[in-house]
Amino acid sequence: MSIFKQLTINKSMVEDGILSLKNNDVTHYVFDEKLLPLNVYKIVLKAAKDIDFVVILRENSTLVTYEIAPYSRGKIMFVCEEEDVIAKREIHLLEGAEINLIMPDFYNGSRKLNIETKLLGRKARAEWHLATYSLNKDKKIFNISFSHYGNKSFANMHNYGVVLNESTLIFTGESTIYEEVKGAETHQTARIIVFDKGSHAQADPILNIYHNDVIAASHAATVGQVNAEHLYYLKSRGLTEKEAKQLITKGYLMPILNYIDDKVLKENFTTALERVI
Amino acid sequence: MILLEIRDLHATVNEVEILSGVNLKINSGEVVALLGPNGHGKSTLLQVIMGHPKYTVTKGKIIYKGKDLLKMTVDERARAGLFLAMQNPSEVPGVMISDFLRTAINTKRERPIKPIELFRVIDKASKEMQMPYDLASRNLNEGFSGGEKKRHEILQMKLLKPELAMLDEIDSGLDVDGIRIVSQQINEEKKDKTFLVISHYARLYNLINPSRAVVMINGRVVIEGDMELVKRIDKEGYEWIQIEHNIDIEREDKRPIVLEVCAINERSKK
Repeated sequence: MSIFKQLTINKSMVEDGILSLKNNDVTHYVFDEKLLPLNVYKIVLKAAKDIDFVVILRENSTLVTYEIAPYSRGKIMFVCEEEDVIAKREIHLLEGAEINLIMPDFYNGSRKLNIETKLLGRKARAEWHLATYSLNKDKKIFNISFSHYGNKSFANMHNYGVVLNESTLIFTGESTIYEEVKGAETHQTARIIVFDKGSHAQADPILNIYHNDVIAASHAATVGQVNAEHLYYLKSRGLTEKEAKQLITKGYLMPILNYIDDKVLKENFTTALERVI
Repeated sequence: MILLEIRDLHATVNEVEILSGVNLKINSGEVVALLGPNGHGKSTLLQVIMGHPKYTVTKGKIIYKGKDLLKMTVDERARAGLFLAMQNPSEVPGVMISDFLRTAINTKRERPIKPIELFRVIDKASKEMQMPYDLASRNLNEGFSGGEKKRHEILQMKLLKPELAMLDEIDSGLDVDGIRIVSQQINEEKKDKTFLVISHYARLYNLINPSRAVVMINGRVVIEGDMELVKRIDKEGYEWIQIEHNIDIEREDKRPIVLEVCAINERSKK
């Protein structure tokens, strides 16, 4: 059985539109946005020990913000279920907050997700890992951005995707280091494998750097077909084209699961991915 | 029994002809040493037999066990019993070796291999190849040293049990122990396999004792012999073939060597 439990919200947690989650509330809980009270626009996560929190994203017209309290650390996993989702979220990191944001998106359905992570405090650190596929003519658009407002803030973005069956997959990665922000560092990587001619894939990395005191800033984006040499190597061992492509896809998307400790969750994602590839 | 017959095989890459009429017959149970200067078509021949998409066969035939090999896809050839240990095995990111080996082994089985049995065969082969026990959980050739890649090729050969194993410079990148282990394994596998082996060094051939040696020059097989031929080439090189057999050995790179400065880009713009 999974150690994760469903989070239930009681009235005492909400004040002035802010839902405050502390310590035990943010360790091994799954929070379904379906249960979000209407007046809540911000969710604050605060934990001295590790945050290990799962958010099920739901279509929602209001901008919901997840705020990581100063010096809180851990990881948040975002997931979508098998449905179309349009949503806009912000993640705010206050001073010294360190968070790993993971999104294994192994379910069908179109997406238009705008997720902006604002590194507001000094020495805030964020890592973003997204692995997704788009098939069955789905249209998945991920606009992921990092905005550096805090000195010595750090961000690293990884977007991995596979697109097939006349579907669309678009990654836009925007990293901005604002004026007066000293010693920030920001990186982003986007990779998409395109399996068929009818599919559309696009990776747009954008770096906006408004200050010259930057530790490092980089971006890398590749969109292309399966490496022909890899395919040949696997086929020369007897694997059919389909089997070889399945292995390559799995190898491409699976590594994100290394960030998940819970065995049951990990197995669920593995099954979800194996079901489609 | 003839296992593989190559008739007047011509092949090109990027419209440059590399194989210019190869004729070769290989009998079941033979260990054939394939020699020749660099760039004269040895590796290309092996890749064409395996079916690398980069090469285009423009003329000729390859018959394997009575079947037209050129009409078969790469994976069909592998399942029919061909195996090529590559000179530079690909690193395939994210693909776990245990997943890869399970799928490859299953291609030749009616019922899929059980996990415990898979563990046992990989464990046994890893020990024989003296490869680390955590091999199966690593990614395919990713971060492997040159020697590890070569040992892993032989490990795959042992697990996939081909009838015709082609080894392309399996000894390059191997240290002394590596060569000993690999040649031991080849000698063990000789009893039920046929080998076609490319190497530039007599050291490997001395250890595996080929039954026949063939030399490729200018994209053709020009001489056949035995271990004596290997020894002579090891001692004297290829020059004597030019004289004794009246063959003009075309150079690998016919372009003249030009020494220039790196301002070449600027200059060429003008």
